[in-house]
Amino acid sequence: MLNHRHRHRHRHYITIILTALVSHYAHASDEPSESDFLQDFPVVLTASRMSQPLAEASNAMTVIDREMIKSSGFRNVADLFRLVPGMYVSNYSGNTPIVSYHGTTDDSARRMQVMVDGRSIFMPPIGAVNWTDLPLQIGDIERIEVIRGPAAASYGGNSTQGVINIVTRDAGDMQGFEASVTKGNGGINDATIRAGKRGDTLDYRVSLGVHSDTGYDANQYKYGDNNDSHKTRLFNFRGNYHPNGIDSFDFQLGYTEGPRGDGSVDNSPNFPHDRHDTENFAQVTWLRSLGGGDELKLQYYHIYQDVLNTLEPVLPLSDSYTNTRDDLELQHTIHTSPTNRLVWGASMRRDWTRAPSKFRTEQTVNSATLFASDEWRMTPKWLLNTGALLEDSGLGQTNLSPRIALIYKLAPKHTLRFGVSQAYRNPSVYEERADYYFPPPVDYTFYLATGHLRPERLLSQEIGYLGEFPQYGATVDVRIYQDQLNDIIYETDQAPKDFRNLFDAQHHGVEVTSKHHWGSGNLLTFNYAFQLMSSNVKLPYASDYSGTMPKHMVSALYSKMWANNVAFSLGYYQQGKMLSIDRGHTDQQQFTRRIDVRVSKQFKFDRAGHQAEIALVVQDLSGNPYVDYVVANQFNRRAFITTSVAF
Amino acid sequence: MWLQISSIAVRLLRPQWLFKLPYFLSTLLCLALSLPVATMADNLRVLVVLSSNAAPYQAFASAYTQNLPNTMRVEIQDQADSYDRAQKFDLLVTVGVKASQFVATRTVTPLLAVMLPKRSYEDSVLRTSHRKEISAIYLDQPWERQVDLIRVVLPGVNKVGVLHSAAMGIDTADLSKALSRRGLELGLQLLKTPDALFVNLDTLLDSSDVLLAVPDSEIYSSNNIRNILLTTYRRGIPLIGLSQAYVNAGALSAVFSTPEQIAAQASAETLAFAQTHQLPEPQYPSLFKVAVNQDVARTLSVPIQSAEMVKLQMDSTKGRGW
Repeated sequence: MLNHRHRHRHRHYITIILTALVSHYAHASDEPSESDFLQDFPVVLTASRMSQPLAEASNAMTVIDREMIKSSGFRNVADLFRLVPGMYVSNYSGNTPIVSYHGTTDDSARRMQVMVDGRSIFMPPIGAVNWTDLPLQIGDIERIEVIRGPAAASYGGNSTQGVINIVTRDAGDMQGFEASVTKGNGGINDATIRAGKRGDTLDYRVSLGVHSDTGYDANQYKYGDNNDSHKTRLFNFRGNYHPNGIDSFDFQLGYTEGPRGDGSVDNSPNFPHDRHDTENFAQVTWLRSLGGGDELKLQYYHIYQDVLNTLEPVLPLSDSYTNTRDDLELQHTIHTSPTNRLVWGASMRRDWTRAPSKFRTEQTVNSATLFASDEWRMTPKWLLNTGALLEDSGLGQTNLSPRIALIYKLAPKHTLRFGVSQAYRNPSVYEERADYYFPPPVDYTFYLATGHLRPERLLSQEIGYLGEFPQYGATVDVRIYQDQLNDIIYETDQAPKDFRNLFDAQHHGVEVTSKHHWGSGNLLTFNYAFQLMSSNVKLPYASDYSGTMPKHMVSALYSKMWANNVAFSLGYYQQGKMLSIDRGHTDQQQFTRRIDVRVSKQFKFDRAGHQAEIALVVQDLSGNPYVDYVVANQFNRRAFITTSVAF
Repeated sequence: MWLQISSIAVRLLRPQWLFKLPYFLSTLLCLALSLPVATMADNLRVLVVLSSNAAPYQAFASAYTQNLPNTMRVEIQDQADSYDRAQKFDLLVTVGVKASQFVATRTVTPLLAVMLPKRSYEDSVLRTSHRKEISAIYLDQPWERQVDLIRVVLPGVNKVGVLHSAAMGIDTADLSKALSRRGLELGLQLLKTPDALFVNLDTLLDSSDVLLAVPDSEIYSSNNIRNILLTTYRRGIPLIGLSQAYVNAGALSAVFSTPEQIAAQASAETLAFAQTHQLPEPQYPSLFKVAVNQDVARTLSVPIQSAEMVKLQMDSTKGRGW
């Protein structure tokens, strides 16, 4: 194998030298020469730059592309997951979105892996995602792949119930400038400037933005107070340096900062105040093409989060914290034969937290993983996906998460998938070591963890069908699943609260996605999820487990483009009755329906033909407010106008 | 040769020759048939002039000489500018644009130019040359063959996008005809300035189902190919390339002729020339290969067979005639 690899590399160097020789003799550019046919090229579309076709993925997968993002009219990244069957999107406050899949939802959903360009962003100490602080503008997203079901073998630890994999626009994706301004009710005030340049060996793009609104402050049915406005300033840079045909270096920097409203009048000592959040990251990825479709990827990133949260300046009482994450990962893709592809690798991670109110001491967790997954095309009809992840949580747990999926092509456009996988969620450092205490005059311990938790274990079985019906312009994706969750970690009742492995649960259900395009420019995406949940334990202080997620959920997005560059889209989001596990009866979420509409017109704004667009979005068109997670969060109609230009 | 004939004479003197009559007759027949060609081939002096010593030219030269009888006098010169007209040859085979241009203006010896695009041959070799016996085997593929490839690998597409620059003067009328004969439509986009490449590409892709690469170094350079492929990939639009290198880089498929395939055709023409002292009309390569990037096909959800199957289907299409 080594020799084989070596030969590949040699061949590569030779071809590059040859290219130089042949192009040396290239003729004046006013006529073609043989070098147009004989020149060699770098391998551009390597495995890591291509998305896996849905019909061959080892899990059910939902893809949200740029067109859908635009049509949806959403201005918050978290809202996009309403377009995933079975995914619950809500808000703990106007600046704290919640995204979770298949229940066990509380205000810090932590049973999903969330990645941006391969950077894992579920952060210590809780293991939740801080969507508002994320240095990511919705307009910089290329596509989102949501893996529905456990996929630890491919995406690392914490990939228990699903994986959100956000892919941002390539460094060389744009050339020129773009600017947009959004204004609307509810204090909506966003602006973005973007610039990009493609070069021979260096591509880059830069975005600057501000994103702000007043959360649920605009609530016309005032319930208590909603101190949940936010103003976020964002900066992103992405560069790609590709000095030769085989190496490329991707650099990313991101920064966000701004005030967020927090606290409420009846929540001592967390009275209404502003906290100040800062987050930044740096990431570098070296991709080396080894020929024959093989590649080597080495990636390092650093994430820094700081929340300055002074609850009471006079005392002083602080709930501030600082987190960092450093992660190094090596991944090697090898085609062991024309019908077999192996991806293996290893990673090391160091998570550090300083949170004086939550832990007596600074917390450092060093974790490591070793992973491999294999895709074997046994016959043109059968494909076998196997994989496993071995991880050391750094908190005393070592787990092996295996996965197997068998894919059968019934006919050229019809695929069946059978999958079984086991995955673990390791306890977060907070669940394992929390000591949430405020000194006098509060002098109260909210949480005191005794630790030694077992990891949560999920065994998932599924049957999937994917069909294409080109004669009707339709595709259908159906998934039937059964998940067994064991040793779910939940808080105890009495203060100081502890975290224990308290209960097991079963989830089973069906998810359906269909896409249909017809006529000129009509596109309809329809999602439906049905889920039944049960648990062996009824915790007296938690809501009934079977009702913690809606039984039925529907989302649909219709879009239409007319020849005169007028676009119309309509989003429909329906959610059955539910009560989140950690909420009381007053926070019951009733059956809700929400309709969003977007209308836009593109036009040329100057003689050079530069494009401009004006778009109007109305969210919750009917104007009937609905409850988001907490009864105080009543979502009212929001309308905003976005004007953008590109030159 | 003389040795062979004298041995036959010796055999004729022996009484047992009658038993070997069939062998004798067949030997005689072979001799009768091979004698003129062998004699003329033996006498033919061929000079192969390469544009440089780069691998593709060398590959042509070695395949070309291997295909010819050992007895033929074939000389290889791997630097075009060291060509010396004082040396006398019966046929010159020039490989690539540079060698063809250089030699064409300096001699009136019959010339077969190979491995150069049709347009380069017509514009800068044929025009500058003042001889009767001149011909070519192009490197590019006939439009019909490329259209066939598109029809076989992407049966569902309608609109074929072509991005080209004015300087390259692609024969768009012929391409358009070839496409419409097979029920396809041509979408053309002219590259106005090099800076406008990706703006023009985006515009073209808005209304294209597939992008067909053309030999145009202003567009398909090794610097641009990365962002061209990433752009088409993001848009879910396959690229049909011009070579194996395009397919390796990420193009869905390509039809092309290797130096060895062109050498086979050139050596056949050389043997014919030995007999007739005439060269055929300029030709496209008669032999070709197909390459397919299966990974790209899968990720673009294009149901595609192996390169061999695609080639077979193209051959059968050709049988029906276009």
